[in-house]
Amino acid sequence: MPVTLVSLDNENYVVDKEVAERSILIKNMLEDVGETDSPIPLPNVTSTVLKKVIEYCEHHRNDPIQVPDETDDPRKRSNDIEEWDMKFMQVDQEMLFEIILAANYLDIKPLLDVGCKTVANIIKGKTPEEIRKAFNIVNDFTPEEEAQIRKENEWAEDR
Amino acid sequence: MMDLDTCSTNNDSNEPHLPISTSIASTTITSVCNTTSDAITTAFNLRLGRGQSYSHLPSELILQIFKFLASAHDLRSATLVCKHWCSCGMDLLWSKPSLLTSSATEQMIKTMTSPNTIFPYADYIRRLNLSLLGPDLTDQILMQFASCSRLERLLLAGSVNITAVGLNKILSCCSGLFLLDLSEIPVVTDELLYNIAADCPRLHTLYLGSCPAITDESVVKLANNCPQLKRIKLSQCTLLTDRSILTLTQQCPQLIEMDVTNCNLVSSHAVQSIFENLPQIRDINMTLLVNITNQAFASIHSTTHRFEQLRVLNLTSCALITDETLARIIPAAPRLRSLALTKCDKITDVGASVIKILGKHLHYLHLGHCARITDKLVATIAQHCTRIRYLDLACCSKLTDAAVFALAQLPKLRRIGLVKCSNITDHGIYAMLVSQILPQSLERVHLSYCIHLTESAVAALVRRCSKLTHLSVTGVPDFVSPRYQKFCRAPPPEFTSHQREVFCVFSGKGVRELRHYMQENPVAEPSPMSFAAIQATYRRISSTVALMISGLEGVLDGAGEDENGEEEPSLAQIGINLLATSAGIIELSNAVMETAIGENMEISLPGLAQGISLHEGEEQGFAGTGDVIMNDPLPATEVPAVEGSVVSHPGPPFLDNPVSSTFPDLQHPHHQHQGHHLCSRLDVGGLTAHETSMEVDTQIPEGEEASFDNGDAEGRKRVPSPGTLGRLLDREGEGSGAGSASPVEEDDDEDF
Repeated sequence: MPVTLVSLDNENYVVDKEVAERSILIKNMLEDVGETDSPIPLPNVTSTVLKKVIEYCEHHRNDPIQVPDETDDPRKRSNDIEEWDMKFMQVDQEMLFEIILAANYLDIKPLLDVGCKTVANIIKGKTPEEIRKAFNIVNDFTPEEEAQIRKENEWAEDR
Repeated sequence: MMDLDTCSTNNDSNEPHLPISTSIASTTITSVCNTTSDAITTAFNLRLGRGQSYSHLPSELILQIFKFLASAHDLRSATLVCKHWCSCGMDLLWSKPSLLTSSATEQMIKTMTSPNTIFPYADYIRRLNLSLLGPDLTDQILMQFASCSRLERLLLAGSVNITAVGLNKILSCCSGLFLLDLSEIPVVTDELLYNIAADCPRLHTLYLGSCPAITDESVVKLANNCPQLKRIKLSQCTLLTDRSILTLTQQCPQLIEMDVTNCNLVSSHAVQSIFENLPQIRDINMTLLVNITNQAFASIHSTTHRFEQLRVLNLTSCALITDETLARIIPAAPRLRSLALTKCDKITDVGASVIKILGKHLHYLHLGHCARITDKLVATIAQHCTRIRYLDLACCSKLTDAAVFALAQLPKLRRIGLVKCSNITDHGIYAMLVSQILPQSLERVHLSYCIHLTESAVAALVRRCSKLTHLSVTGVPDFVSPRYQKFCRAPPPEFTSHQREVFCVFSGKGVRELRHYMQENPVAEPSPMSFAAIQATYRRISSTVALMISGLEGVLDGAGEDENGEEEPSLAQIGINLLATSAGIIELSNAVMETAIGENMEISLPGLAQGISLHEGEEQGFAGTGDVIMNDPLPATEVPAVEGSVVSHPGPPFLDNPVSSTFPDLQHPHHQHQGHHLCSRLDVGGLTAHETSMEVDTQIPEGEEASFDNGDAEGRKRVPSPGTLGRLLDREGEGSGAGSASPVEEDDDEDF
């Protein structure tokens, strides 16, 4: 049965239930309300982003559901992104940012992970200044603060 | 004052005094501490976030990103980007500091103990691994960490210069500890363990390997006071008796991992209690429990006892056990991933064939020194346990090239140990190389004391296996030579001068240098081998394997599917796989034949005739032994005469004749021509087999892999002295011992 999703800017998207249910948020909503024809409003997602997210869910519609891993290894790997996802994530920083927020809001763990991995990969090997430039972040440290933090963490030089 | 909004920051008096004015909406911070994904809060923050930049991502998302930064260096760079990122990442940066050197440690201590730091760093440390400092760790350094009140995991293995004073001090401050690694610390005594039992009731992991002073008294106390123990290592604690094991299995019902290596006073009775009381056990290492017998497993009945969680079973050098033990334990532990039976030399083909029921679950198998086993067992296992990655068959002296031939079909084999399998010849090596799969997956190959091997076959191996990182050919006559030994690594210091002389192990850079050298200085053709010998060998391999497989057919009748309904590769598929390999061999033979034709020699091609008839589904199949003599099958005009003998034949060994795209660097165009001629009828079978095996492969979700070694197993990743145990186990210098002692840690190969 198809489900209608409504974006922030009132665009309607009709998708298969199994595609929509890649989002745990939507899955839970559907479970709560039961069978329904009424459209599901997603007031935090714009149509541009929602389109992109649906594209992801379509492609991954048959993936096995990820079991939440309580023994999460805190130092995870970011170099295991599959090829399709890698291509999918070739977007500008603004879109990447929006995808991460939407994946978090819609509770699509694999998409959130791949988004975070992509950002992590951009950070890797860069200096703080290069990172700021890559993500358009303003340095709000005073020079003294930055120097002190740098000094206090000098030991973390493990390369 | 800025609120530090990492999820774990609590509201105690250690509030950081960050002199940075707040610039983040307090609502964002509120959401941070709420780790459950509360859609409403998140949605609210989302609106705040829209149109803003990465500096305003909710902290939980920043933390998610940072968790993918494996290196502390990158994480440190990220914390220096802006205040928000800084407060998100600092906890993570300090939670598991990786302290590789004492200078880094000193720097860290300096920060931690300074009076006016920006963050309360000591509070952030959850896991502290000081074992890399080894002898540099002193009581003085250790005691600096007594202020780490939230320490949960402490790893001190191999700290030979700390004393009971330092240990007691830090342990008394860390009542929240749940992982403690005190392996190889000489001052660990019963007294210290009494304190641990009293101070650290929440312990779930305790490693006491090579703490030989401890006795039953302290282990019993620990077992009684730490009921949450899940993992315990007592390897080399040689004073311990059944009393320790019995108390542990009775008082600590959550135990899932137990290492009692070389606790040689332990008897069958204690081992029985493990299986009786711990149905959820996952990992048991019983290496060198020399007194245990079949009695230890006698109470296991696979109909009533199921050890579904058991993944690792190490029975190395439990030399009294026989086939009977395997018949008890293997069916009861159907998901074993790693099985070590090294030096259980009473084991035979009959008993060990039960291993096949482990099927795709089995990844690591050690049968070194099980001298009774034969090619037939290896073929059976290779047929069923198709996901084996690591196989050790050292000193299985009955094995021949046929076993290697069967192994060449394993698509995931990365490490193969054939030390002292002295029947193996160059043809075994070539059989591996004609496989479509193996040359692409092999990483570590142990061929020491395979005295019949020549540099030609080894050169082909080195050239074909691009992922090769380790090769041992100690004692192989062609390699007892300075021209190769200059690339090999230094022999272990305890070796005798003779051992040094024959030592030849290449690893990492050495393999690359060897490969380069061999390319620059190609070796001669295998001169001692006449065409007839080569032919005879392939004929023998083909028919031996064929006989084995046809023999299996009767035994395995009806065993088509495993319990999950997943189709196991059928005999027909195996046959086709073998056929694909034979096709390669035929090609090789063909190259030889061609040269021979040039010399007017008469050559028989048994493999070809057999292969085709099997492929066409005819009855005689592989089992047929009738050789077809091919008298000059090709018009003489099609065969360019090759001048000279094999010895003077230019280019690399015969293996390089093109079979398929697997061997792209084709040297002799006229060979290719003939190759197509002879192979056209066989190619289809080969291709099908290849594709089929790929399909079988993809049916099994890889995610399953992850279920094995997660959780708190991290302590095990540090291997203080890889060779130590191996050397203890294996003084004769025959290899396979060390690998077996730690089946999962593939990098601990011995120096043979």
